[in-house]
Amino acid sequence: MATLKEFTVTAARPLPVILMADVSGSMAADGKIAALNSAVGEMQAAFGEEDDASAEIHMAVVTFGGSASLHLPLTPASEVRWTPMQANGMTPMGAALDIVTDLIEDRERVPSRAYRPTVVLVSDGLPNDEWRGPLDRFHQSERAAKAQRFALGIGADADHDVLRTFLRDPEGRVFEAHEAREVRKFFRWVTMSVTARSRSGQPNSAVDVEPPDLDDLGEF
Amino acid sequence: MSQTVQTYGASVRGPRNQREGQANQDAWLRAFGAFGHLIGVCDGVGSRHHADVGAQAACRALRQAAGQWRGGTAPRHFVRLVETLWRIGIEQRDPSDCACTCMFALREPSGRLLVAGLGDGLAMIRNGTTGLMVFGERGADAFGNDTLALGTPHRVEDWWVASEPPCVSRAVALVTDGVADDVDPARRGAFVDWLSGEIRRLPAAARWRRLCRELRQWPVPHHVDDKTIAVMVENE
Repeated sequence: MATLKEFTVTAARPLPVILMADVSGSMAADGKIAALNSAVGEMQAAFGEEDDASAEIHMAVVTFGGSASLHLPLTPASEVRWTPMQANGMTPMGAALDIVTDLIEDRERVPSRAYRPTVVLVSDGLPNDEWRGPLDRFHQSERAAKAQRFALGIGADADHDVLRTFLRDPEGRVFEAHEAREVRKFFRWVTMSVTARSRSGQPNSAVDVEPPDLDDLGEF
Repeated sequence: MSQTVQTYGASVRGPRNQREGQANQDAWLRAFGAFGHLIGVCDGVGSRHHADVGAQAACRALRQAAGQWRGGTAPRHFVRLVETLWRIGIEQRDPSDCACTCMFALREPSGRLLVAGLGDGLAMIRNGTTGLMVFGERGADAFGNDTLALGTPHRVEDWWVASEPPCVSRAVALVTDGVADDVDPARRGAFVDWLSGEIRRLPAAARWRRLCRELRQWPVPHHVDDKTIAVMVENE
């Protein structure tokens, strides 16, 4: 006697979270890369422990520093073994955007049963490759354009115009972090937003947990 | 030799609506009459206040449309009729509060099969001579629960519509997205064969209980949606 189990997939519906992390040489200064690694590690741990959800949160990390690469392939957060990122080189954000667009467009890696992805862009400077074309491609991609987007500028040299263009949302907000504590708070907020989505009846819809200021999140 | 047509199905509340004390927001129907045989499944859009009312109204609209249907007419006219009857059926409520998907299969007395749908869910047709046909696959740019629906902005042309000629032996399975998203694409044919074979052969009451039990014991982690299946089997 057959049962439904013989005809169904075994994996939960994924909710992909893709981090685009600037790991250029300037991130090595003032403890920025250490703060980023620590905050992303905390986020991964929180996602991995999330079991009251309509979806299984999957994480990917695309780094850009010297070259752009897939530091962490899309993986269930509970299975991630976090390897800290290293900072060096220039800031090829355009190449990183291409990797992210290709990832979201790939229906093997992000199937149609997945919920709308979240993309988080973190940078402390100006891109130094051709980034406008790849950003247009990201925005014009039917799937990538549907992604929920967050942006964080670290330090005084972060290019907020680029980050704002990435958000492409008149009401979207580029957050600023000037110290490690604020980086952690930003990622805590991203974590809250994603887990609220994953627990909601409609994980494709953004859940409004936006604080007016990172300071309003308090200590964690 | 005359054909027999059997229709059956089941619908269960998903864990989310159970947890939140909400009604099943899926609905389904089976009906027969001078128009032939009809099955339908409708899935209320989860965040909408009257999603369950919308799904039930859509099933009623399907039945009413079938009652007024004259075989041989262009299938898209049936869809227009359903849209109009649904708007009447939800009475004074805001259509967006009642948003729901809608999918049906109507076998006319001539043996012609009309199948159509708007929004998430799948129709799978197992035809003895042509294998498995699948309708309602998500668009290339879509993600889970990202759906068109009655009560949301759309055009009549957004419905997918198919008309199949009479067939000696055929099984049609309509499923809402709570089922469709978790059936392995490579096992869809075997899934329809199971529904139209092992499940069909059970006595009616036992069949309904078995389907409900299978849907309640859904084996995919983190599943939350309501789940609905409707089946039509034609045999000589």
